[in-house]
Amino acid sequence: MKNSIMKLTQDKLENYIMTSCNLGSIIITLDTSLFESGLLDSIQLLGLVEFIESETGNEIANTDIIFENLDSIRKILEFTSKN
Amino acid sequence: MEVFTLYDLISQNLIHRANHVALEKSNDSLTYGELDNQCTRIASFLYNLGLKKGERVGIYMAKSFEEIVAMYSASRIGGIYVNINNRWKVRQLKYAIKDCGIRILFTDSYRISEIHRSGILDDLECVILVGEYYNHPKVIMYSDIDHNYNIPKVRVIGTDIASLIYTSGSTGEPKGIMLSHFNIIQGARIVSSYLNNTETDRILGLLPFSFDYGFNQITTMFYCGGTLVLQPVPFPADIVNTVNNKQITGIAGVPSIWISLTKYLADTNIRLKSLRYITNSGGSIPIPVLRQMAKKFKGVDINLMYGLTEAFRSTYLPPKDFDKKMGSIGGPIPDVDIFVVDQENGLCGPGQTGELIHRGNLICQGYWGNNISTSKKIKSCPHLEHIIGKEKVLYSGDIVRIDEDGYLWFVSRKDHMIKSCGYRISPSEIENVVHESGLVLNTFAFGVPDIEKGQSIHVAVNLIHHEPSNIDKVMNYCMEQLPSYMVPHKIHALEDSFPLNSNGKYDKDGIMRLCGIDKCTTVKVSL
Repeated sequence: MKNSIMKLTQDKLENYIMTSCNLGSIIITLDTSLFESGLLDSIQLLGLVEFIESETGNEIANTDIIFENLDSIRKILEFTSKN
Repeated sequence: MEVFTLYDLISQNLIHRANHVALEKSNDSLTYGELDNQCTRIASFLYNLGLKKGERVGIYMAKSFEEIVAMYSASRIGGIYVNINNRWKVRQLKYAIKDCGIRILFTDSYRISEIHRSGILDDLECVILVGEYYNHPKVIMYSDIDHNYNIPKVRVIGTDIASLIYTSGSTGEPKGIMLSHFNIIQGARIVSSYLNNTETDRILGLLPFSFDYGFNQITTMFYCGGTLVLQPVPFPADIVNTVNNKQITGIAGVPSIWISLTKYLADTNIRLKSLRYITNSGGSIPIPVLRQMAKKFKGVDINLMYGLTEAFRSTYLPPKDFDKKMGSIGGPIPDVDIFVVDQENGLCGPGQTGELIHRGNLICQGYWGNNISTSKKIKSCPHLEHIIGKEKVLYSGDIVRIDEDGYLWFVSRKDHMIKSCGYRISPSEIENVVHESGLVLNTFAFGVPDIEKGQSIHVAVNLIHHEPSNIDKVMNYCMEQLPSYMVPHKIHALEDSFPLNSNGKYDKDGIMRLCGIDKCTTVKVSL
């Protein structure tokens, strides 16, 4: 990810995960594991990556699509703010 | 030591390999000795909780050591574990709990609040919770279970049922496939024989353990004393890192994994040096991807396999035949007979097409509480009487062709089951949910060929009120009620009523035409 001009906000990200991923009444905190927990799967990963890319205006390199960058809301926000 | 039951798979390793690592994940590991201790602790607790032989124990949680301990502990004292796909929603979970009468459920802190709010706790006697503390009288913390219980002495034999695996049934609701200890042990024995597994193997536990193919990664490793490395996240970059950092020797995957992993290896030029073999099941890999795999997995044995949960594994294409028979499902695995039978003309030979029939010790013990469905699927075959008498065989429902050299090629399903992302999916299960939305008059779900998914899920509907926003509402309802792999990829609102065939049933081809779908439509895969 380079030259990020738009910012992904916590509200938008939380809203996306709760609605588009249909987690029902599952409680998601900043540090809840999204993928290691099995709450989201690889099908939903594709949607999440697309969402982040459209919000930030930058493509995510496939080497950056890793657990360490995407497994929680906090990790995603830290990853997008670094780039 | 002879292995007869699931628990023998662990205990046989205590004699010479108690300190050998059985399970590993990013920053943790368990030796066979430590795993045995954990299983003894949990099995004793379950016994003292009153778990009786033959009783079902539910497991609904993230991939973890505790998940494996729960499976082996329940089966050690004669319980039947039911590992429920953790992608399932409350709707499917409720169904399985009721269908087989689960009163004890293992789960984790990611899922407990949803289980509590949905009222499922009312139907259970207790929940054993892995993770953070949750305040409820029926919740027992896994971490609080101590060693102060007697080691139970329960006689368990190979014939006993060890597990139920819920899969979509062609008539609608999921069915619990009953596997005996013997079935599971034979699966490990046969697979490890043709993959040449040894105690030096380090296999990647990538697939869900609620899936028979995923669970077999555990049993195969325990059978030969090797190590299973848990990989909870299926991102290609993480898989590659784990393989190289943890010196993985074997990976079992489904087509969607091979498509994304092969693309990643092509983009990055990374090599997986420790890898000895890979296996595919759960659908066929598109030919262009197979060609690319031959280059990107150079020096790695590629095993293409075929099976269905009712008999675990039926055929495989040995790596030596990969180049000349790319795309074939090969021939029978060791200790299994495969016949191809045409209902009218009998046993098929080279050049002919018929239903694949499986014979051997891997055939399951039937569907839980469903003798009618069992007797339709597992029965004697009149065309085979001259060879095996009235012995019962498994009718796969898959149509295959035998080529001139005797290799088998998948042709189609006999029924309308959809195969998407490695899952067998019942159209009527989807149609039931679409109907429940209360927005449609008629609904028909069908699969459309898709290179990446195998098939994508399409649903044709007649809306009660023709408003475009109702399609979104139906889709949202499906997303709420169905696991992600069952959610339709496209819903078509048709104004005309559905065409019928001569039997008065919905005409699939006619409906597909109204939806503007050519039967041969495929989506291109980028490599």
